[in-house]
Amino acid sequence: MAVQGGMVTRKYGIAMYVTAFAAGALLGFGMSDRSGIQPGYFEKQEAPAYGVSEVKALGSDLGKEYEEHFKRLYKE
Amino acid sequence: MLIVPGHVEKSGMNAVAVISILSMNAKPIGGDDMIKRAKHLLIAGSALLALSDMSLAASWAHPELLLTPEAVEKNAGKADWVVVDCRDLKDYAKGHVPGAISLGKPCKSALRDGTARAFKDIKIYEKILGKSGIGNDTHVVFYGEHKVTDTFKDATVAFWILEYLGHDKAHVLNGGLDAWLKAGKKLTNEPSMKPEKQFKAKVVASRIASNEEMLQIAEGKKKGITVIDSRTKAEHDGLDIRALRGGHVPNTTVNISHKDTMDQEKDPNTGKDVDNGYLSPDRVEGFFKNFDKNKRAIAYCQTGTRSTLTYLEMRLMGFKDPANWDESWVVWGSNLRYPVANEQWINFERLQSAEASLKKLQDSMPKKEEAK
Repeated sequence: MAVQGGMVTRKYGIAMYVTAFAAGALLGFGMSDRSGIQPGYFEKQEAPAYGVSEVKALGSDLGKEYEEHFKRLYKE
Repeated sequence: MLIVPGHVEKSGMNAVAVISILSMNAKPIGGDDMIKRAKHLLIAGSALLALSDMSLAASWAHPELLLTPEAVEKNAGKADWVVVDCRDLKDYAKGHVPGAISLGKPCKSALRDGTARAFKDIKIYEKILGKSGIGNDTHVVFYGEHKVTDTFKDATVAFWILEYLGHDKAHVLNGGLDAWLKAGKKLTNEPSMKPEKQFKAKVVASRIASNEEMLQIAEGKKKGITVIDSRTKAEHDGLDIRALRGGHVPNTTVNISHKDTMDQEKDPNTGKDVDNGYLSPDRVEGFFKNFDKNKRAIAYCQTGTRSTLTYLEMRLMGFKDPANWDESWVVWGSNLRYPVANEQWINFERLQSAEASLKKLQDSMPKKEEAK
């Protein structure tokens, strides 16, 4: 009985991990889709220290379209 | 004096008299007629006085350069008009005139190099303006904001740059965003972009004064040019030093602080008169009336920023050959090759002492870790 109970708990645990991972991925994708900012993952620069704001690209707050527009405006 | 036909002395005749003559007939005067005619005379005289008052009020020679909020609202949506918000992008994002675009940076940074001078490479302007939707046939309205962000001068810098590039359709919103809000108009935080256009500059080199020209003026080799120092009196007199040396360029014609030329209103907190970011011909003309508008006139300040307001004012008043000197005092005052009137040297001892006081104050403050 005890072995069976442990297996059930492990199954629930795995299901929880899978659900959490899927929800996280979906949430991340959704945010990226809305903000136009690509998730960095491994190629992302080192995150700034807590409380220190990251240098944002000009116009990024207005959306990807504006970020690209201002980049074109001031490109050397 | 009552004047009747046939008794007008040429030398003493005035406009009121003329009206009175026109309102009378040649019959003898007396009784009720007299009262009636006196009334007519009074009415006609008052009307003429009002008219003469109006003609005495100054007016701009080029009023089309300065727009009202109503004019901006009327034209903002047109395909050949672009309204540019000259403030920082974060202020633009919070709220701006509907349909206005941003250059991504405050205009004075976007349209000048890191040393606050006009770009030498004109292609930079052609790219920035063209990609922003400004073509050679586009009317461009620049606006800043006076009270909070002090960016009215960003609009005048942009105006001057466009005129330097030979664009004759540049305008400034009088009173900036303050005027827009005062007129009860709404803001939006919906950003705007305009379709790209071709901008080809036709540089009017005389819109910028050079150090060489200023040196000739300072040394008395070039005469007949009106030179206006747009800085404060303290800067002009060398008491407020913002370069190696304080003072002003020799042969400067006049010191007219740019702040003084704007309309003034009472600050509710201090009760003092402060500039409000509006320009009116009566006030501005009062400062410039003694100068020959047909002569070349050059404005300067610390970095050639405040003096762009003077440049706009000169254009409004019809000066034929106005210029802004963008090197201005920051370069002149620190270059020992150039002569200085009222020369004052920066007091490094005082600077060091101020720095030491600041460090002492800094040391006396609790460190971040201690504060936690």
